[in-house]
Amino acid sequence: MSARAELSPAALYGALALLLALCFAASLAAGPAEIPTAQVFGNLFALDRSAAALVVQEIRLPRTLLGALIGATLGLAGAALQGLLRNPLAEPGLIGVSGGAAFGAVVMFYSGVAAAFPLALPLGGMAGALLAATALYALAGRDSGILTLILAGIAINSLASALTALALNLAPSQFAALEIAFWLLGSVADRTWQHILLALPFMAAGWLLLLSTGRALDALTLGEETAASLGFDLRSVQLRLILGITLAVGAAVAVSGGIAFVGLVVPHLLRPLVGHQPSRLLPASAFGGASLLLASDIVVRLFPAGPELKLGVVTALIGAPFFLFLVLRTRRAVP
Amino acid sequence: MTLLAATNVSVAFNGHKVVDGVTMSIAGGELVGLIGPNGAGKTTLIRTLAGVLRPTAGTIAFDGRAIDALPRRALARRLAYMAQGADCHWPLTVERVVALGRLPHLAPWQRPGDDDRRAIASALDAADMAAFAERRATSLSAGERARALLARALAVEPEALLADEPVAALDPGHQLDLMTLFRARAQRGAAVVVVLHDLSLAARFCHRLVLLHEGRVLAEGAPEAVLTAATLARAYGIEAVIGRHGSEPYVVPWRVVRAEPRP
Repeated sequence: MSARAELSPAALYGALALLLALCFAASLAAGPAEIPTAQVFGNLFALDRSAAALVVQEIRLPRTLLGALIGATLGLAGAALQGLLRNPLAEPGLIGVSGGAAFGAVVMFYSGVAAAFPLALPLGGMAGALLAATALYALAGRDSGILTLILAGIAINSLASALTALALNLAPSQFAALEIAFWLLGSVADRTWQHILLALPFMAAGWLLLLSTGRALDALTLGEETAASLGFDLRSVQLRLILGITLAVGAAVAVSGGIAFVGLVVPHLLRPLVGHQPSRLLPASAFGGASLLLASDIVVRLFPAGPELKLGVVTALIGAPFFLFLVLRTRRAVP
Repeated sequence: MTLLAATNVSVAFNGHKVVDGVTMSIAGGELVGLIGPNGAGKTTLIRTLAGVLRPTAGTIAFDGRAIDALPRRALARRLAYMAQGADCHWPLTVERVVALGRLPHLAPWQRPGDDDRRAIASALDAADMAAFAERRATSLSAGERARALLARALAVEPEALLADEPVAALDPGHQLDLMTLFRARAQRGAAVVVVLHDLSLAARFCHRLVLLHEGRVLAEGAPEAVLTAATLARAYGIEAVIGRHGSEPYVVPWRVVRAEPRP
């Protein structure tokens, strides 16, 4: 079997960029306010402060941009973690950082701070992500291998989920519990430019750290010893990767809640197209993650009536069957 | 001239010395076989020689400089290491696997150039894998995979090549094949160290053998001098048929004369 499914880098990135541009445009055009599609793009740069311009500039553009940034983060982080662990089943939530971020935000809900000061939510989320990463590093950072890292991540994740469940359990009212539960389902609705300004620096720093590990991940294809003999300091690689995921995914979860499956499915889907090479999968998964998240967020807005459909629910509803399909197809292909 | 030297090297795990005061050296142009029973410390020693593991005591010198004083990447450009049972975790093409050998030569964001492409092609040729360049590394037979991994190491264009049991899973034909390639690399000037369990392969292909027993060097020198009835009985607890085919020695393990002491 040879590398038939692989695309040339120019064709691949051309196609992914086109897909992202289409999803971005469609996401701008989608929403309950009826603005003719042709006017949407005119209103992007309109200075007239008309209602339509405000809807596009202050509601749809931040929502779309944030969706793309979060999707790119989840795709990139998933691809990097799968490369480090050499396991296609890894996803960014595995190391406990997302769970920590969710718990940090839930504390802000629970304590009532979020009601008084809206940005407390993402700030609490980032604090939670940092706390989880610090615990992870203390448990598995120094001299331990990848297995310890996974086990410590699972333990931290379980603890964070348990504490989140405790907060739900002890919520002062049913309304508060429902608010927390809905936030945990993940959404990019009603986000503002402030959310983007808050999350973007952390995401960008995280992306750079993750992208810097590309060649080490290639070398890890042949195992840890071979990678070390090729001149890579695996402790530094592991540290950059954990820190990159903490900053980027922590910021993403802090502004959006939990969004499942993007980090798992996207790298899996794109891997054959990059010839299975971990370094080339990183940027491709960022593009693919952004597109998938925007597409899911468009689906969310196709059902405007009734309670808001949550983005995390849609990504899981699309992601899980699709993942199952991929697993079954892989099983048939490899005897 | 000595390229790689271990001086009084000890490696301990949890206070237990696996390698205990080993002194040995390897020169360019030399194929050295590292032999010894299971648990003698061969893998630990070769990993330490490769700089993948730090010794607890003693020093490893590469080209006269302490290995810790060399930048990691500088060492990686001059020394290639083939880990035991190494496998390819993703279905990369053979050519991409071999190209990994060029990573130490590339600056972090630098793209491979003509030198790199030439080194990859010549490594594929040397390992007789050019026809497999577009095949997936995960779809190869054990013999083909061993040659692909050797080509990966050769693509580094290393001055020292260290391989831990590279022929362990191979049939006799592929074993001879691979040993011939190691020997050829030594003849072209590289210092080559190979961990072996097959004593006849060790006797026939290696210029020199180092026999490890319980972490120490039990015997060292020309194959005939190392593979004697006394050393084989002491190290492996076996009686062996030691003979010659033409001018070349062979060793056939015959029976156990003393059960290996169990901890």
